[in-house]
Amino acid sequence: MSRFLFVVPPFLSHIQPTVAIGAELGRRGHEVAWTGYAELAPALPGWARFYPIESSLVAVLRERARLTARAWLGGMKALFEGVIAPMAADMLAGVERAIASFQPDALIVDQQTIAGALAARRQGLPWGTSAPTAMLFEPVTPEFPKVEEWLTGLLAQVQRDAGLPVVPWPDRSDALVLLYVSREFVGSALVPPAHYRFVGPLFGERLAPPQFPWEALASKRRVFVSLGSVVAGRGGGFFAKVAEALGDEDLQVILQLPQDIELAAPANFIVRPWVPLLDLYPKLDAVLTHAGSTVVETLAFGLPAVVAPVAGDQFIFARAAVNSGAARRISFTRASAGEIREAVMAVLDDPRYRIAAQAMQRSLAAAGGAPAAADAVLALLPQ
Amino acid sequence: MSTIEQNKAEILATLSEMIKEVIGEDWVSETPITMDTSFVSDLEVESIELVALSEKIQAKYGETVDFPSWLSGMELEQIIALTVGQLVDYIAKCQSSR
Repeated sequence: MSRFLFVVPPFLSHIQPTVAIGAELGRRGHEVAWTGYAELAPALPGWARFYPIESSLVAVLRERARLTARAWLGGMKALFEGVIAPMAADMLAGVERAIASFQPDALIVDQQTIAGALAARRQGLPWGTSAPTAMLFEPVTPEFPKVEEWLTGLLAQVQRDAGLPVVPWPDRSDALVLLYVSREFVGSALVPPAHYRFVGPLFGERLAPPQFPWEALASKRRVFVSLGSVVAGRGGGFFAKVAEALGDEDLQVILQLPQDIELAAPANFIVRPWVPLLDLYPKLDAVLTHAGSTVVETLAFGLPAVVAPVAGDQFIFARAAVNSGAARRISFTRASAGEIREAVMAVLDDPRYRIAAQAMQRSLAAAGGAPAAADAVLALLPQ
Repeated sequence: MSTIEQNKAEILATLSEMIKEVIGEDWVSETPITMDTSFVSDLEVESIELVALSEKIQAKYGETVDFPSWLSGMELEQIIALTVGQLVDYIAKCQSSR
């Protein structure tokens, strides 16, 4: 039996897939543990062994994460400069303490917590990458060499500070990269290296699902609307347009609305700060989302989507969803109520969106899920 | 309107059409594209779309406008700040120095 240590950032969508893999490894008799900032403990199930890292940086990171809520390079610069590079330096000692205590045989390191990769390299341990973002879905375009220069320069400094020889991309393993989508979803733009494993979305246990008024769900076509949490503070105008766009339609709208945004909701809206989404998907007809991993889950349930990407890799998720034929894209910043209505009604009324979503559903289910991910993780060990 | 300004207005109109083709009519929305429109923060384009736009510019203006090497010389911050107007000026400049 072997021991595996997961190194994760304090972001729920990054932790969830590792919980599913950890549970699967546990079922096969292996021991698993997590390390990361102490604040992420509530995102782990009760059975999880956790080596918390105490740091005053976490509060700063939460503020900085808001700055990443911009498109493409604006968001990418804020993410790498303000979050990923500082976390790498700040977490390294804590990860090495966790390794000393737990004595893992291999590490599974989130692509945003490079400290795990640095520690594995310093100690000569095998490691794989958990890649829940869409950053690796598309090849690096050679057209902007100075962007790549800037990024690899920043990552080179992180490695030098840890006393390691410099590789161009210390955030990804050359033995295993786990991606929680299917090969078909990523599409033909990427020729993935052989160590990229597409295992589909991992629906691990969700902790304490929130209450939901199921009896209030009308038997009309149902649309779930959510822009996630990072949009908080910027979404007010968009949500007001959604209310205007869908308030008069013969639809049941379920709107996940951040608590800091006020909205006069139309009568056909159920508004909640948080919903038990995995239980809700089977009752839906379409989803309007900022993309991100929510759009992958939406397709995994065979539902068409309208995507309004807000930040960073959401644009890549959105592009893949649109290319799959299962989604329509609208602008978060500029779409009018009329355009929102038109896009939502199109994915509901035109069967081609649903047919494409169902094709994606089959490819995501065939990707193998947690068992396939656990097989790949076990293959990291020396034979 | 001077000839130069007229030329720039024509280039802006041409570019607007190309941008709509690249990022989709729905996406561009009802908001007009102006000289001050920023590629990254207003139009929310990414590398793939800028490259596609670059191909369209090449097809239309040919060798006189070397958009790819102009782009490849740009620092991260310059790309973030890039406006449609800067591209219009660049194309106009390439044409006049032909």
